[in-house]
Amino acid sequence: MLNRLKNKKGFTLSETMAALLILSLVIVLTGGGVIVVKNAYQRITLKANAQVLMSTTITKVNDEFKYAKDVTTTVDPADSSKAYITFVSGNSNLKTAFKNDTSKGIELYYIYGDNVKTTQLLSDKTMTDGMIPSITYDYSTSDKLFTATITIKKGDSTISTQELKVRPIEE
Amino acid sequence: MLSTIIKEKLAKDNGESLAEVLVSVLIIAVGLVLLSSLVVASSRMVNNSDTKMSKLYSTQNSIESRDSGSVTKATGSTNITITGESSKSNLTVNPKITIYTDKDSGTVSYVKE
Repeated sequence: MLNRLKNKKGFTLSETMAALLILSLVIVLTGGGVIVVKNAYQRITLKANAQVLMSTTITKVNDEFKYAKDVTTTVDPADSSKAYITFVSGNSNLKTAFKNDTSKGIELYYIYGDNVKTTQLLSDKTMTDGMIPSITYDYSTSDKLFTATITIKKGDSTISTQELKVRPIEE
Repeated sequence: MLSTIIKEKLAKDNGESLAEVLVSVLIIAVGLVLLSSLVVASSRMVNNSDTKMSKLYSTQNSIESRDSGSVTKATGSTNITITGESSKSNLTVNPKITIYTDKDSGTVSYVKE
């Protein structure tokens, strides 16, 4: 080892160039591999989290629709130009509708007399990775069936969409 | 023990043999393949669960929708006799049943009137 350290001879230019070339190739290949694996990991995590969020949203929405009573169309007391398909919720016993908010996701919109109250359907911790669920729904009086479409978005891109049909028990 | 081997190795001017280099490259390659296969396996698992979840929801939807949607309906009744030990304890019931079949999800459900 001492011989090597005492040796005053350096490397030739071609040796240094060859070493640099090999080193840069290794760095590029390793770096590329790390980026590909990181992207794949992020994609898989996002998809898995979206599945969990979709499942949670469907459970909550299904619960509200299943125990819904007196489904009607109600004009919004706060804004008479808007009307919602409302139902009496089995959980709160109040006239309820689903509303969408761009940052808070799906909201429960309670209407009692001329007063209104809004509650978030899912907590902020449930909506991981900046994913926001939204809902559009309709009620068929002849079939006695709620048909809802739940969409999970991150920014402007849609991650997953699911149709949901629920027949209320008491209708 | 290990420190002596390292000291001896450093004192020597000889490099590694081709066999040693090849074995080390093989070990690294096997490690990388195993790691990448983990990513592929988890991706496949997420896709599988996605397919299963969609099928579950479409089955649930078909059960809920009954008369509407892609569900076909068959209504009928049949005699069911439950036989006891003597002829007097026989019980015959005639339930009316509606069977709902969904072609998309392959679900069959029934409602007793």
